[in-house]
Amino acid sequence: MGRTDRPATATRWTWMAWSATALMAFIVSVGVMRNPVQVTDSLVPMLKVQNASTQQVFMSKIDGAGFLRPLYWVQIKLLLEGSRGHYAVAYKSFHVLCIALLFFFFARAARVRTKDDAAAFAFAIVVLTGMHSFLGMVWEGYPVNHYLEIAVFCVAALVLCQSSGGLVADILAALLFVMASLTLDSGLLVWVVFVAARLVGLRGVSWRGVAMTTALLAGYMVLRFMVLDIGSPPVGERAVGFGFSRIEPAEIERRFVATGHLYYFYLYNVISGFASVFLSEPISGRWMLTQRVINGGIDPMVATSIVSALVATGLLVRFVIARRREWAARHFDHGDQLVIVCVAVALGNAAMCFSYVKDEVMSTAGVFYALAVFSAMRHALATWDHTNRRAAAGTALAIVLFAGSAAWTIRTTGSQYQMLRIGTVDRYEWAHVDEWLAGQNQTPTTPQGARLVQQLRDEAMHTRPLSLLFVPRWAVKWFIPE
Amino acid sequence: MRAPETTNPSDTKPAAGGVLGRAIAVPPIAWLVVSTALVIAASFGYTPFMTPIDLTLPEAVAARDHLEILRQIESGADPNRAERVRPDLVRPGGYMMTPLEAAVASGRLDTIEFLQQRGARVDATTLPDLLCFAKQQGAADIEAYLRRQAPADFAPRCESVRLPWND
Repeated sequence: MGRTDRPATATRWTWMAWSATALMAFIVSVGVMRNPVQVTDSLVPMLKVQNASTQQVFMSKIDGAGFLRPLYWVQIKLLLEGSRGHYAVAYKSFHVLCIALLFFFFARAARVRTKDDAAAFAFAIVVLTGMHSFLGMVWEGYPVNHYLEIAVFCVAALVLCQSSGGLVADILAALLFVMASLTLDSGLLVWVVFVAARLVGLRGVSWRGVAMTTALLAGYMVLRFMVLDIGSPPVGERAVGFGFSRIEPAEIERRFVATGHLYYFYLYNVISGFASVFLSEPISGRWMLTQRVINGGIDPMVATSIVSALVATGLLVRFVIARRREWAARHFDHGDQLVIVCVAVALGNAAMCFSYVKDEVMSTAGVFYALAVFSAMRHALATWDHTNRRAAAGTALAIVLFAGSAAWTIRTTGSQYQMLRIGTVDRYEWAHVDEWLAGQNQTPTTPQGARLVQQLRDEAMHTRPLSLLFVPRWAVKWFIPE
Repeated sequence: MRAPETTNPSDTKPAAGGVLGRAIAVPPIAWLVVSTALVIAASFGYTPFMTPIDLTLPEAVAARDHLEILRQIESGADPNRAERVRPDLVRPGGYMMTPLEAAVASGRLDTIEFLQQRGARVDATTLPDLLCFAKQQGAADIEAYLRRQAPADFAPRCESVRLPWND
């Protein structure tokens, strides 16, 4: 196929896609706003930064063992200070802002122009929100969801690569890299996006920009491993999924560390992380759905996971086969670029899961997967809609595509349910917050700390949770895992 | 900063987006429409599947919503008063129950402890009934917990105890 340029003008299909994006972002945001700030992973960070200056927070978090996330802590501090006592509103608003940015950049990267684009985009948007890794970006705050931030940074990086470029784009690329890499370890994926995008012909970030971010990456490595001696995330600090079960830290020590086979464990985690994007399995390293199939438990959740993954990844495989000659000739169009960058991000993301695989960490790859599926679906529609075939074959194809789309839509509903259900858990934790803090040796020792806990608990009291008692049993079966 | 775009197959011919396009677009669009309608309806007070706003204290117990229990007790609700529990929350029918009875009926030992710490009475007047309810429910952990609070020779006559429910 030739590389015919076309003006980047919006059509009515573009506006329909933007409308769908805005609606989806709004619905997800309503779910986020309904839930309280959670106790675990949120309250202690807030208490830790409360009595320190922003500079102290940055300096104290720049040399944490195994992790380099100073900007994450600075954001918690700045939001706490800026909230003027309305803690939940401040953190939730920031979360909603990140959601809006994610959807904005997602739609911008897809560049919907035609009717086929719009249909494929409707499919892609439920792939995005139905992915099991999406939940990790929305159902908890920590109190700033840094996984969501990294996904935003990476999709923004892709959009920057799609721009017409220039010095400003290169400077923005460097800034994006610095912010992402100092927010969370997986922020290094921004560099993967720049390099992969450049290699497939996206010229928004020039080779000069790529060289700048590569130099910054080298600087990051020197800072992390030589100057600060932070090292890699520790292995065996937490229970992880392995095979059909979860294994405890002691088991990891016994099976892999003591026997000198730690690299098998690393390999398992990397492969699991990569597979989870394309197969929807394993979930946090555990092959739960496969286990349920082996045990004969094909419930609705298992069925929708299998159908959705088969259709979406099947389309991707078909796309790769259909485009292999153009790729070999290094001719990449917009769809090719999205798919190849997705594979690069998934590989990079999986590599970062070497010490433990977690759905939240893979969430950035999940977003790029949805973009790749968009390309594959658009290509399939454009090809199939103009192919003469028997009526029965056409009907069968339509049924398969409808089933895939319906399965992703059901998964999206499941994500919404699970997001609301976590609010019920959060409320339970707030009722027992004093005992929990005592158990963690984190009981506030200052009046400000006590006030913070009291205020957040009062704010949690005014949220209304989803109660499984008021959800029909059939819905529990379809949307909520055991 | 917008780069000129390269083509994809859908650009090279009139976009038909026929049956196949509709097949994939219908479920997500229907979902968006229904979900938006539900969000709008929620702003008018219609919130299916969410905990109702007029939850009684025993109903909050049945839903294991400890924060709601706390909120109601801190707002002055009596943790010993029998109130409505709507059908299907703990039993198929709707009944009047105390919060402790609702906790026993729903088999929640942690909720019984939580209520007790916040003023619900487990004493000579309530213990026989609660023990018999727990026994009838087959809630061994609750029965054991309640027994620990009774005198050693305590032996309620469960056949004479009237359950708060009859289904």
